[in-house]
Amino acid sequence: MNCDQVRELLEAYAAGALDPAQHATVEQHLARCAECRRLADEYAAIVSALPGALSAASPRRPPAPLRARLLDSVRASAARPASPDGKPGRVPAPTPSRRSPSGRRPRTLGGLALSILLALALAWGLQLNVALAEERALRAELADLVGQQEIVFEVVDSDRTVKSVLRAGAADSPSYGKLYRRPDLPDVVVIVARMAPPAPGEAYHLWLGTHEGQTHLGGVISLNEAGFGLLVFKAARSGPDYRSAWVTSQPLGDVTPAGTPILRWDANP
Amino acid sequence: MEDHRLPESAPSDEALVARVCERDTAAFAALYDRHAPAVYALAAHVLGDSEAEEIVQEVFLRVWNKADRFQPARGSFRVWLMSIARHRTLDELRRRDRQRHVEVAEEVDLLLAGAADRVAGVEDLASASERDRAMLRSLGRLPAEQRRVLVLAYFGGLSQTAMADQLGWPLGTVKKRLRLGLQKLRAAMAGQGFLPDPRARKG
Repeated sequence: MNCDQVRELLEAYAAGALDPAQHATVEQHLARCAECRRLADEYAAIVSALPGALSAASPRRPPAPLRARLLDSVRASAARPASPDGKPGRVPAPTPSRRSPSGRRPRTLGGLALSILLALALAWGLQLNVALAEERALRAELADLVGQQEIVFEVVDSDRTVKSVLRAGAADSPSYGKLYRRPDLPDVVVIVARMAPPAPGEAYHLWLGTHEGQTHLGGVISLNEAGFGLLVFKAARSGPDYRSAWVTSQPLGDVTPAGTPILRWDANP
Repeated sequence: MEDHRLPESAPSDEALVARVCERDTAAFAALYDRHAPAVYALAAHVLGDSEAEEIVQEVFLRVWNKADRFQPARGSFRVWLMSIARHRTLDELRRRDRQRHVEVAEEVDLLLAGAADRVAGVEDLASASERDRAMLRSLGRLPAEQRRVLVLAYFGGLSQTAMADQLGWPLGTVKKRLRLGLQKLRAAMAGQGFLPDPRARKG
């Protein structure tokens, strides 16, 4: 596309009214052409002023408690020491507590107390706000990384969501998992938390058992440095009807489950 | 887009973002106060009040956590922020209710058209910024069909072809109205001192 052709599309581009293919073509041209880019930036500035005009026209305002909550969160995180990924004061700060074979303790202030609380909470089936907020933040970060944020939000954060908890086989393990699905969607989200790294040459596999007695591989779950993993996949139909889910550590490429489940859920234990 | 009337003492958005990177919570609060009303209005009129609260929270936590990803050389902070807010809002709209796009846009259009008439009587808009009032005034001066198409695109998230299909308008008409509308808005804002355009800047 040459500049003349792109210029005819710049208004629609700025308003977000181009079809995806044309949008991408214009974007590529703008990456190389400073003149067209300058004009595109002016239009971008114009449309970015539209929400402000709407807020001037509208009686609706963000409620004061929202501002207070937000400021509390960021002030708390600004006072926190740096998390191990090197970034100070994120909201909320993830606390790594993976149990390496040497039994290494978490390094952040309060991390040991936090992981004890979490283990107790899980044992009692409680949901502490801290645990939940942390999990949510980690989940969002990972989803962002794998480009799946929209699906994850859609499946996990709705009032139609069905959630199942996968518990660790070992009584003192802090690891757990959650399986999310919706009756009206085929997408399935699984998170695992506080997992030790798998043995070399192996990876965590998520297996699913259906009520018809079949076993499917949901996928392989990779972990981040905090021992947290996310898997998103599409079942054959909406509202998949699982009766069990379990996580094993196996060599990549295996097509059937092998080894003791690390985490497990059963619909009818 | 610069506002050449900004008092010398007020820090720019970009200066505030740089301080947010240093974990300056006062700078974060200043950014929130400047931009949250616009993000909230966008989300509230497209999705509703409770969803709008979540979106404001999400967008601003993202500002806090990812301030270091903002690159001033690639555009202003407002453009970055509104782009995130609009995408998040429209994703949510698409997910929840695919039929509502046109309805949402019509409501927004009515609100903008109605308020634009009142900008001259400044009392109830006293708290809005100069830029917001200028944009509202400019929108009021647009031919109704041009404003409508712009609102369908920006707030309703409809592409030109979707508009033509769903509303039964000729595609060529839609394209022309969108081009003319935005060109007029740009000229009107420049005429009120809101573009770094030497030819259009007020004396």
